[in-house]
Amino acid sequence: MNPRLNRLFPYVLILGVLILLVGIIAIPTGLGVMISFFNYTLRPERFFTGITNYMKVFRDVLFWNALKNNFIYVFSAVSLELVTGFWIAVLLSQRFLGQKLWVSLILAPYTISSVVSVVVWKYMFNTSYGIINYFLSFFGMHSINWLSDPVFAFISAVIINVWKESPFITIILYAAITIIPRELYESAHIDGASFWDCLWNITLPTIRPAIFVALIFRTIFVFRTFDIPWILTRGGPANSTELLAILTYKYGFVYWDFGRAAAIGVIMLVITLLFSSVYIKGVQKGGSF
Amino acid sequence: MKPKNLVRKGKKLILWLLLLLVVTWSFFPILYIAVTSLKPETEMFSYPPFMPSYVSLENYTRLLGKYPRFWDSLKNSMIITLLATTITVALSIPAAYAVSRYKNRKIAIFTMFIIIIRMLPPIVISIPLFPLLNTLGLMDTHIVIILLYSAFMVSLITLVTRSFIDGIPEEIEEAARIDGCSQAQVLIKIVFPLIGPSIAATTVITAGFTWNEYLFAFLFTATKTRTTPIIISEMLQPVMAVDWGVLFAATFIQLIPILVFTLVVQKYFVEGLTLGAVKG
Repeated sequence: MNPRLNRLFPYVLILGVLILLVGIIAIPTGLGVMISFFNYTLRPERFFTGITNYMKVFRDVLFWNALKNNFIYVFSAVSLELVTGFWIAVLLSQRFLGQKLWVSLILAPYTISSVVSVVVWKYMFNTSYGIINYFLSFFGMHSINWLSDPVFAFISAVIINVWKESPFITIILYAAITIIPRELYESAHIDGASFWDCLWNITLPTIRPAIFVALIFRTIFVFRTFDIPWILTRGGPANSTELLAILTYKYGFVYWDFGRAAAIGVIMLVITLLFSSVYIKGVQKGGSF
Repeated sequence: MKPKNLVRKGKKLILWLLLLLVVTWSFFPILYIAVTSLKPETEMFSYPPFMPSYVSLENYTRLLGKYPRFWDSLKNSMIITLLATTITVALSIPAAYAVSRYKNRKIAIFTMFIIIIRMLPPIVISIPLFPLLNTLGLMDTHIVIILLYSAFMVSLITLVTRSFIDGIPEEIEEAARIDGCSQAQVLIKIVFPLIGPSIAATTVITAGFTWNEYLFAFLFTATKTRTTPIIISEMLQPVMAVDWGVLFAATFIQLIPILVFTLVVQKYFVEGLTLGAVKG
C-alpha cells in the first residue's frame, strides 16, 4: 500500500463517527449556544440580544423551581439507586441456585422503555384501584393520592426512576465484586472476620472506583431526565415534577421561544460539563476504571 | 441438629427471603403487565387488583382491530431500530480499532471528544435542530431520527468496542502484517472475526436504546414516523378515559422483543455495559 495512504489509515477509520458526531451533535450544540444570545422566536426577524435570554431565565421563578426540583431529583434518585443497586449486588454475590435466572429478572427493568415503566406504575399508583394503595391498606394506611399530590407525584417519579435504573448500578458493582479473589474472603473468615468486616474492609475499598464511576454516570444521566416525570404527570401537578429538560421543552416547543430555551439548555450543558470534568479527571488520574 | 448448622440454615433462609423480595421488586411490575394484558375488560378495575378470573385475549384483538396506528408505529420502530443499530455498530468498529491501536495525539483528542460528546444532554441539541429541520423540510422523516439515534449512540458504542479490541493481543496482528497483510486486511481478516462478542454486546445496547427512546421521537416524529413509545404515551393521555386493557396489550408487545433479546445475549449485554462505564 502506498505509504501516504498508510499514514492516513487511522483517520479514514474514524471518519464516519467523526462526521456523524460533528454534524449531528457538535454543530447543533454550537448553534444552540449561539441561539441563546439571540431573540429567536417564530417571527422571522432575529437579532442579537446579548445576555437578555439569560437575564429572563434568571428572573423566572419557573427556572429556579425547575433547578431546585432537578437537584432534589438527582440527589434522591441517584442516592437511592446507589443504595438499592449496591445491596442487590452484594446479595447476588452470595451466589444462589439458578443465579443466571435471578440476575435476568433483576436486570429486566433496565431493558424496558421508560414509557412502559410509567404505564405500569401509573396503573399501580392509581388512588382507588391501584395495587400499591391496596397493599398499604393492610398496614392500616389511608389511600395516598400518588399522582395528584405535588409531593407524592415527585416521590412517584423518583420511585419509577430507581426501579428502572438501579439495575445499571447493580450490574457495574456486581461485576466489580465478582472479580475480587475469593481467597481474600476465605482467609479473612479463617481469621474470624464477620460478613460486615469483609464488606467494610475488602468489598467496599476494592469496588470504590466502580462506585465512583457509577455515581458520576448516573448523576450526569439523571440530570437530563425528561421522560419519566413528563409522561407521568407532564411536570405537574403545580410544576412539582418540572425538571430543567421539561422546562426547556416548554420554552422551546410550547411557547416557541427558542432563545430562552437555548439559554436553559446552555445552563444544563455547563452543569453537565462540570460533572463530566470530575469523571474525566478520574479517568486520567487512575486509568484503572 | 448442631446449633452451628442451624445458624447456617437460618442465614441461608434469610438470604433466599431477601432474594425473593428483590426479585419481586424488580420483576413483579413486568409480570403484572403480562397478567393485566390478559384480563377481560370488565375486570380492569376489579378489586383486589390481582389475577383475572379467566384469561382473555380481547385486549389484543381490540388492539388489532381498533388501533392501526399502533401497528404502523411498530413497523416504524423496527425500521428505525434496524437501520440505526446497523449504522452505529458499523461505524463504531473501525473507529474503535483506530482508537485502540493508533496511539497518537490526534487520536487521543478524538477519544476525548467522544467521551465529552457522550455527556451532552439531548434536549440541548433539540432546540437548534427543530427550526433547522423545519427549514430543510426534514421533520417527520425516518432518516433524521435514524441519524440522531446513531449519533447519540456511536460514542458509547465506539468506547465499548474499543475496550473489547484492547483485549485482543496485538501480536496476532503483527504476525499477519509480517505475512504481508495490509492494515485494512488485518482489520477485516484478523480483528473482525475476533470481535463477535463485542458486536453482540453493542448491537443489543444500541437496539435497546433506539427501540425504547422517547425524547427525540417525541420531538421529531409526527404522523408518518411515530415510534411505538410515542403511540403508547398517547394512549396513556387520551382525551377520554384511558383504555387500560388495550394499553397493557400494546405495552406488552413493545417490551417483549427487547426483553427477550437482552436476556438471550445477557452475558454480552452485561459485559458491554460494564466496559462502557468502567473504561469509557
